[in-house]
Amino acid sequence: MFDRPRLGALLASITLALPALAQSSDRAVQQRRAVDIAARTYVAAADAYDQRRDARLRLPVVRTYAGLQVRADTTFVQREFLVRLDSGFARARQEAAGAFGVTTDSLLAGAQVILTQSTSSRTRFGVSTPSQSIHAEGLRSPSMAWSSSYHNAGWRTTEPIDQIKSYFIMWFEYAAGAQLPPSIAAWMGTHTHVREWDVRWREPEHFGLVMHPSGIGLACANGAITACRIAFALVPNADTIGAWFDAASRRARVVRALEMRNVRAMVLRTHAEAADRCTEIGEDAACRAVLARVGVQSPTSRVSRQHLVRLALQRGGEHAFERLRADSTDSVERAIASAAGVPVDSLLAPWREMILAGRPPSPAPNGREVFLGVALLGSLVGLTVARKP
Amino acid sequence: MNRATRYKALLYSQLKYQRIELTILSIVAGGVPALATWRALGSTSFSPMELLSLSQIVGVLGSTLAALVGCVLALRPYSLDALTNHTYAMSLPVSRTEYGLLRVGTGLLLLLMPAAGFLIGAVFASTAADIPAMLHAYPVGITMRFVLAAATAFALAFGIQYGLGKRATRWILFSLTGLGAVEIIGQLVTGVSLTSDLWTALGSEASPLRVFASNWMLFDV
Repeated sequence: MFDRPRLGALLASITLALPALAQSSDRAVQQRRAVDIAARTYVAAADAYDQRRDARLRLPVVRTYAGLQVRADTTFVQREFLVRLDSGFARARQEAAGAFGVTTDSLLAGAQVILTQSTSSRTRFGVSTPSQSIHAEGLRSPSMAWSSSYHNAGWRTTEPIDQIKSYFIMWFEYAAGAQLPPSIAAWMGTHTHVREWDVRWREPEHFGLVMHPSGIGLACANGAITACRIAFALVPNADTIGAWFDAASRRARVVRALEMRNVRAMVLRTHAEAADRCTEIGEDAACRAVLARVGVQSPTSRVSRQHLVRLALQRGGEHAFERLRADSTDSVERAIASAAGVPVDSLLAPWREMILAGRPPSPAPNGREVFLGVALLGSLVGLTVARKP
Repeated sequence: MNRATRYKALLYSQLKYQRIELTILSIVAGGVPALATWRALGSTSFSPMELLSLSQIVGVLGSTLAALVGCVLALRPYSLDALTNHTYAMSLPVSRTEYGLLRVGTGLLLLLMPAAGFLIGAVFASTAADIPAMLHAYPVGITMRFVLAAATAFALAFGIQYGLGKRATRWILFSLTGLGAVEIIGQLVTGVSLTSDLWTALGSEASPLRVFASNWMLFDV
């Protein structure tokens, strides 16, 4: 079957290949072992985590606030802190009631906050100082997705009550956000706001609005309420691409998007033909398809939308959040109008006022800067010329 | 010789000795906004974001120039006086206090020359550039900031130079060396910056030096 040279070559090949085969076999075994060890480690860590979690869930309930159970390691969390906790919750509840009305007391029902001891060390000037604080593992709630159910806090035993209040407010906000109808949640995310919009955070929102390439945001900032409605994507059939850009702009945007190498590669994988039809013959349907693939940034961010809803809840009064939560129309505009008890356009004007307050001021120095400059000049010159040589 | 006449005489002498510096500073001040935005002048292809970037360059150059103007107007008259061992100052029939106040008055008035140059450059850049509808131009506002920043730099430089006299250079070097040493020792020994709180305080809203770092946008939304 084999002549001698061929047999020799075969044997030599096998001999040479044997160590490599053995090595590859060893490598495969090692890889399997590594995967096995990693899996076991993961399972062990998950078991340990579950055990710790179960142990924490067995801690005694030390407070119940409107259905929210506070469990605590009573060997560490002292009565004085719980008194601060009471005050913090009372203040938070009062503020939250301004947004969520009669539903406030049911929002946290069934949720749990677990207070345990937390040890950390702070290094300053090379010296490490251990400190103990209270770890609040916040808001385990059956109504919320597991991944979003943790909003933890690290508290000192002398934590200011306002700081504790802030965490309770945050838990109210997340709990309310988790109960929003799917259409609203898809439109603005699962977060609601209890507090007024900080002017400092309005600046980037104002920037994004007026700089939107469609010009819709600028028209809104200049006072066109219809443009504000479009900027909020409150358009028929959710056709935002059609509402934000005309046909020529859609084509121009596609051409511009295709100039970016990574976007071009992404589009050509799935929409090569549409991209060609859009750029070459200007077929609008093709341009829309490409833009839908590429994505178009909205003139209004989720935060802007959340604050529009906050305005609606304020306007709607005690039962506003109840109406918003119960809405089943699948129309964002109708849901907001139903909650507010007025058409959405009535909310857009005050929202516009809020966003305009975020416009950066003129570079002319403000009163404080002028005062500080004059004070510096006066004091330095005064000290200098009054000095005896 | 009344005070107004003395002021005019001192103003005239300072203008005479610093005319070249003031002319150069005024031309540079006028050129900063115009040169920083020259690529956008008369061009419609510039995006709003590019204009905002150019505006930031105007801000950096403008605040640096304002500091330079203030320092030159405060320090140079002293160094000119020092060349003649202050015989000119001492020959005048005025007290040291009045002489100092006259120097402050002339310095603050003369810093308006570079400021006028900066205003002309900023107005030129604002009118020549094709500004998109979403942006606003602030040539007057940024010039007012330029004046305040130059006056602040003037106050600091004047206070240090006239307060410490010949020892000013020594004290400045001593302070800078001390700060550097504290920072280096802090980094080597503790691994943290021991001077960071100082810089934070100097840049805070309560600091008069913040005028150099806050809003210097010639164009903004």
